[in-house]
Amino acid sequence: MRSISTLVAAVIAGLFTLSHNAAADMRIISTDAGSTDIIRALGEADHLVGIDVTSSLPPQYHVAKLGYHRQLSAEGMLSLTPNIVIGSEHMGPPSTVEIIEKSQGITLLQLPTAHNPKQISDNIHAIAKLLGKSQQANVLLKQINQQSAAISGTHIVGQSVAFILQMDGRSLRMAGKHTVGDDIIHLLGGDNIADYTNYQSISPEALLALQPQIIIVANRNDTQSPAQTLLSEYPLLMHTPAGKNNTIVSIDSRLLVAGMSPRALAAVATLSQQLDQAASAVASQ
Amino acid sequence: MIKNLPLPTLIAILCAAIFAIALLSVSRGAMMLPASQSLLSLWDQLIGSHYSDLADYQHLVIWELRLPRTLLALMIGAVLAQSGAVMQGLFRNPLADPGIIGSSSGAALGAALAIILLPPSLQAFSTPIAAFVGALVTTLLIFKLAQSQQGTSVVMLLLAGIAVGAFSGAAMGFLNYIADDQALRDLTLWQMGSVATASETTLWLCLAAAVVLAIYFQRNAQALNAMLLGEAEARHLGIDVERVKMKLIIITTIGIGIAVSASGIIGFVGLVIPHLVRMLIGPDHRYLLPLSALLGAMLLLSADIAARLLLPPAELPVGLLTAVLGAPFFMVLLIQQRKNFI
Repeated sequence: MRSISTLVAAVIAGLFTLSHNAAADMRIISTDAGSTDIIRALGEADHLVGIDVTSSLPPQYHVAKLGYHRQLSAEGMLSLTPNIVIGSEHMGPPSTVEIIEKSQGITLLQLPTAHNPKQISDNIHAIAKLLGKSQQANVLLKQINQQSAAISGTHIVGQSVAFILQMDGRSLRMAGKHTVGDDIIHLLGGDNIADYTNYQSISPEALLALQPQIIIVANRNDTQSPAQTLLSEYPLLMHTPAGKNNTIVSIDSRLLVAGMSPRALAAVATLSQQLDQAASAVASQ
Repeated sequence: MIKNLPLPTLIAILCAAIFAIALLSVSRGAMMLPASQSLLSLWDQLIGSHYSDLADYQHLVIWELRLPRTLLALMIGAVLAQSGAVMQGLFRNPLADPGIIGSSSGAALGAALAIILLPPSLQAFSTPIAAFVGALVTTLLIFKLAQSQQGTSVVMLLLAGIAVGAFSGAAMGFLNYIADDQALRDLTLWQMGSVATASETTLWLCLAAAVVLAIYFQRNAQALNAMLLGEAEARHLGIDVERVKMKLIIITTIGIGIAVSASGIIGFVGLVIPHLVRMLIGPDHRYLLPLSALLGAMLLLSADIAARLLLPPAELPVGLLTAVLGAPFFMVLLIQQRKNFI
């Protein structure tokens, strides 16, 4: 009896070691910026062996770069001996995806691009299940739910919002439909002032004529906030309703490269707080 | 010394070199596989034996990735180099290359229309077809512009090429402006050229193009030699200059159209290779054309091997490497030709 229970204990211990070793042997390729972000948030960035050129990791991670995610080299990916490949629906070219699917010993997971917190959560579920990190996932999912609740409580329903990308400090690109900017505006509950798709250039005069009540500015400058850069370059915009109510808010564009991701959502939560503060400041005047 | 070697010997030497480089291409790549195993795997696939010890996915890499791109690089290199030699002979201009008749700008415009205006799911089909149609339409347009009652003026061909190129550049600029980020990136990568994606249909098509072009050009080698003296002199020698020009331009355009649709825009091969061959064996087209094909195949394959091995696990577009190597050569050529242009 005792020897059997010892045997069972030994087998279970053995299985744990095996599964721990299996987990330690995970070699993950991520070809989607959003998925890389989720993998990093789950604490599995150490197991990444290859990422595409749109993914970003802090400098301490030295991971091989695979190139553009729609023009991947199958041989290059296979040479990294991955056992898990995570990508988006846009992964290409189709011949490479076919070869990865046909390779035994590689699990391919293609996730749809996330546009709102629910889709981010679904993607986190899918990745966590594959990587066996459901515990860490629960922590992350709770965080996402909290941020999502805070964002949906923003008091800007029905207000017109312009999302401006100001990458080189001069030209203004306004986000239309099917962009991350549009997703952010919808999350916050506002109305996107642009009625076209993708980003289009806009002159300050045209922006002033549109009279947006809120302006969200994004750039990748570290020295001053995007809102300050916008206003110092185009002081004219102080005459928009957004300028007058002090609702020109900033977001770091580098957080938005991956589309709607955990980091982007955290940035939007900060935006939501800033807008609420500005709204209460106006209300108290 | 090389000039004194008979043509069959030169061809044999180049063929042997190509075979060796092809074996190198199949056995080297981002994935480290022992060369002997790779070659055995190839042999296995060809005759159905089981000598090689490689895993299934490694067999896949050799048979479905490295072999098709080796073959594609060889065929496209041959087509581009021969077309360049023919263009240089037709235009009697050492700076002519297949793009000069507008096929590159037309193909790029066709591809831009396909990539930017059509949904991404269709791209695998639509881009090659659009590139081919674009190349064909642009070249025929330029040809029609240059034709008149007196015949096809070579100078008008060049100028019409510039005009149509400017128009297609403007159209591409507009398409770039309305494109989204993904389409823009896809188009940029397409324009840099790559022999990576080669389906079976593409390979057969390119083989047909390479063989037909080689045979047709060789039959017109004497006519090209005569035209080197000048069009009037060629006419006096009994060559029907108009028909030869028209047929050569059309066949070249179809060949270039197929090459561009298979691999994007790979520049400088058609410009540089004929000059290298002329430095070896002189301007006689009976030797120049076959040797250009072989040398073009060899050099494009070498560029592709380099493209795969320089930045693993990513791959450089092969057109980038040919440009980096070809542009300095082009400058040296210009400097040498300076005295002719005063």
